[in-house]
Amino acid sequence: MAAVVDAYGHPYGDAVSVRKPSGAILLDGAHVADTVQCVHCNGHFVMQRGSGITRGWCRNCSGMICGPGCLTCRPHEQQLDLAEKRGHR
Amino acid sequence: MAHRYATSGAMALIAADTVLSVIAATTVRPAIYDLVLSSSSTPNDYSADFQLQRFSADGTATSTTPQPLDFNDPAAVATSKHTYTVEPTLTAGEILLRLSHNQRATVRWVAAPGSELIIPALAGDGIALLCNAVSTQFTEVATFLFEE
Repeated sequence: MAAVVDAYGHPYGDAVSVRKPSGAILLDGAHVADTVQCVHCNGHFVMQRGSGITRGWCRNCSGMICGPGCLTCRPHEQQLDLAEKRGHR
Repeated sequence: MAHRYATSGAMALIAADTVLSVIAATTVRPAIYDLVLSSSSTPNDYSADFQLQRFSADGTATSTTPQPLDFNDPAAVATSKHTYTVEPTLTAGEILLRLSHNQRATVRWVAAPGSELIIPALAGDGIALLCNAVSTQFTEVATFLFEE
């Protein structure tokens, strides 16, 4: 049977456990990876050793960000409020 | 207290097609906290890649009524659809989660309390479970649990 890999082709065995996970991925009921939530875009991602993907930390929000695309500090709650005020995203 | 609902759908996978969605209304912010993916086809070593992506306008699909997890809860304000024939207007770059799985495996993602995927209270706004790629077509069964 083919190895179980994530969307980037990395085996879940390379997933890094985090102290305060935002979520979990289970395969056939077994926990295989923690997910971390980006404080700006609300997305979840798996931290993996040697993935080469750049993550970050927002010192204003005190939380992880998923990558360079989320560098600007716009907390997700604020984005939701603004979108609802404008009537569109 | 938020009310919790389940919605599900099944579809023969096609790359770049949406399997299942949750669509907000102007009065509620649905929050997805659980996703289960499995297959009802004859077991094979096939694989598929999925992503949860935001959309700003809904497409054409089969409507499915979200079921309350608590029998006493009211009907959901948010709506849900599966098996899209006309894709929703996906928001570029707003991918909230990516998952791949072997057809033989059941994969589940569950959010910790407070880390749900929240949809703004805008009519037509939602989150789609999009099939990125599939090695050989098989039927995927997807379930979302969400609260509003």
